[in-house]
Amino acid sequence: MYEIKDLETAWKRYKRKQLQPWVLIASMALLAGIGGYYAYTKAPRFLNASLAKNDINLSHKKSEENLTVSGDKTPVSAPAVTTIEERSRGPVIPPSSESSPIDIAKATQVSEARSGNRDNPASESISAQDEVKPKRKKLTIEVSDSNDPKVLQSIERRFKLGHDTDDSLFLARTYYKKGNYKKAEYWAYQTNRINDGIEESWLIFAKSKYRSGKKVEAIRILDAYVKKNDSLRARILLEKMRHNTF
Amino acid sequence: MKSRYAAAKEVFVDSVDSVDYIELESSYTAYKKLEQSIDKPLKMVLLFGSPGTGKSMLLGRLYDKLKSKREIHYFDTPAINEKEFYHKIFQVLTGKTLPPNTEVNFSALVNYCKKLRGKREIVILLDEAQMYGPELMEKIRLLSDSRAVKFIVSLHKTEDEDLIAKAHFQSRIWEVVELKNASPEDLVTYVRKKLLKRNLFEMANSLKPKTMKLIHRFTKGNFRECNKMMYSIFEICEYYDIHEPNKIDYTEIPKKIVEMAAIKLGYIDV
Repeated sequence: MYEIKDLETAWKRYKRKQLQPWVLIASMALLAGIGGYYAYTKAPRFLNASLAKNDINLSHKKSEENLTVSGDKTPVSAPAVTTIEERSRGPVIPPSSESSPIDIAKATQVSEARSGNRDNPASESISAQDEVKPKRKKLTIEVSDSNDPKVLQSIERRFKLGHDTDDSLFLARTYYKKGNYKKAEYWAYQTNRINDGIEESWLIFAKSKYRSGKKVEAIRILDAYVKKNDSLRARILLEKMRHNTF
Repeated sequence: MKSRYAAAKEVFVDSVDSVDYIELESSYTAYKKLEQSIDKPLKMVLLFGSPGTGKSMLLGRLYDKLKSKREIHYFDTPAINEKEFYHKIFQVLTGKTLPPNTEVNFSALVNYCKKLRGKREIVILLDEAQMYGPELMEKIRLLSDSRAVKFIVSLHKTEDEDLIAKAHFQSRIWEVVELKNASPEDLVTYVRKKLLKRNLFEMANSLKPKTMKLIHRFTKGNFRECNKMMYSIFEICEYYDIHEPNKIDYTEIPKKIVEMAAIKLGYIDV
C-alpha cells in the first residue's frame, strides 16, 4: 500500500471540491447580506435626500405664497413686511432700508441668474445638488407695498428676462385682486403658455374672462380644463359660472 | 509486524467458495425458491441478476447442500467450445472421461438422455451461461427436452444476453429466480456476519451505521463491490496502523478512510 500519500492528496482535493458549492453559497449569502445592509443603511439617506428636495420645493412655494399672502392680505396703503427663507433660489436681495422698495437691479440680477440656470440643464442639476446641501440663508425682503406699480413693473421686467411662472402667476393674481381683469387674463395666459399645468393660473384666466364679460369663453375654457384634469375646484367654479352664481 | 487489520482485509478477498456463504434474508428466499424449483417437473430454471449479486455463491451453496442427496453437477466455468461441453455432459451421463481427440455425436447424446427418462434425474448447474453461444444454448434446450437432464442456468442480466427475451427459451424456462443488490440492512448484516465468522468482533464494532450507510451508497449494495470496498478500507487502515498509528481511530473506521477507498476504487471522481 504505497499510494496512500497520493490517495490523501486526492482526498483533500475531493474535499475541496465538495466544499466549493457551499463556499459559493456562503459567498453569495455574504454578498446578499452586505447588499442588504448597504441598502438598509443607505436607503434612509436617499429618503432624506428626496425629502430634503421636497422640502426645498415646498419651502420654495411657501416663500412665494408668503409673498403673495403678504401682497393679498396687506391693505393697499399699509406696508407689509415679509420674511422669506431663501434656500435654493439663490437670489440674495440685501435688506433695504425700512421704506425703500426692492432693489430692482439686484432682483434683475437674480432673475438673470435663474434664467441662466434654466437654459443649462447641467447647471440645473448642479444647482439641484446644491439644493440638497443645507444652504439656508435668511433673507428679509421688505416690501413696502405689493400693489405699488413700481413693484409690479419691476416684476414684469423680471418676468421678461426670466420667464418665471411664479412671477407671471403673482402678477395675474395681483391684477385679478386689484380688479384689473384684462391684465390678470394676460398674465394668467403668459403663465399657461409657459406651464399649462398650474391650476390656479387656469382658474384666474377663466375668472378674468368671466369678469371681463366673456362668460361663454370662460365656461368653455373651464369645461375643457375640467375634462382634461377633473379638478374639483375647477368643476365647482364651472358650476357657479353656469348658474351665474359666481 | 502484522496489523490487526490484516485479518479483516483477508475476510473480504473475493471468492465463490460456498464456505464463505453468508445467509441473508434475501439470499435465503432465493435459495429456497431454487431448491423447490428443482423438485418441480421443470426443464430449465433461470437464475439471473447483475454481476456481484451472489449468483455463483448461491449455485455453489446449492451444489454443496444437495450433492449428497441427488445427482447434481456444477459447471462453474463455461466450456470453451461445444466439443468441451459435450465431453463434460458425456462425463456427467456416463461417468466416463473421453480422450481429448474424441468427437461426441450430439444426436446420440440426446437419444441417450431420452433413454434415461424416468430412470435418473440429473441436475446440471450452469454458471456464467451468458458465455455460451446461441447455438449451444439451443442444444442445451434440446437436452433439457429429454426430461432426464434439468438445467439451472445462471446468467447476467444484460441487455444483449437476456435470454428471457428469446422466445424459444421463454416457453421452456418455467422458473425464474432473480437476485438483486443488497439493501442497506442486508449489507450491514453481510459485513458483520463475515467479520464475526472470523471472530473479528472489534472490527465489526468499528463499523458504525453511518459508515455502513456510506459504504452502501458507494457500492449500491453489490456484494462484490462491497467486498472490494471493505478490502480497500482495511488495507488503508492497515497502512496507518503500521506507519502512522496516530492518524487512526481504532474504535471507529473514519469517514476519511471510506472516502479514500472510494477514490481508489473509482467511486469518487476527483
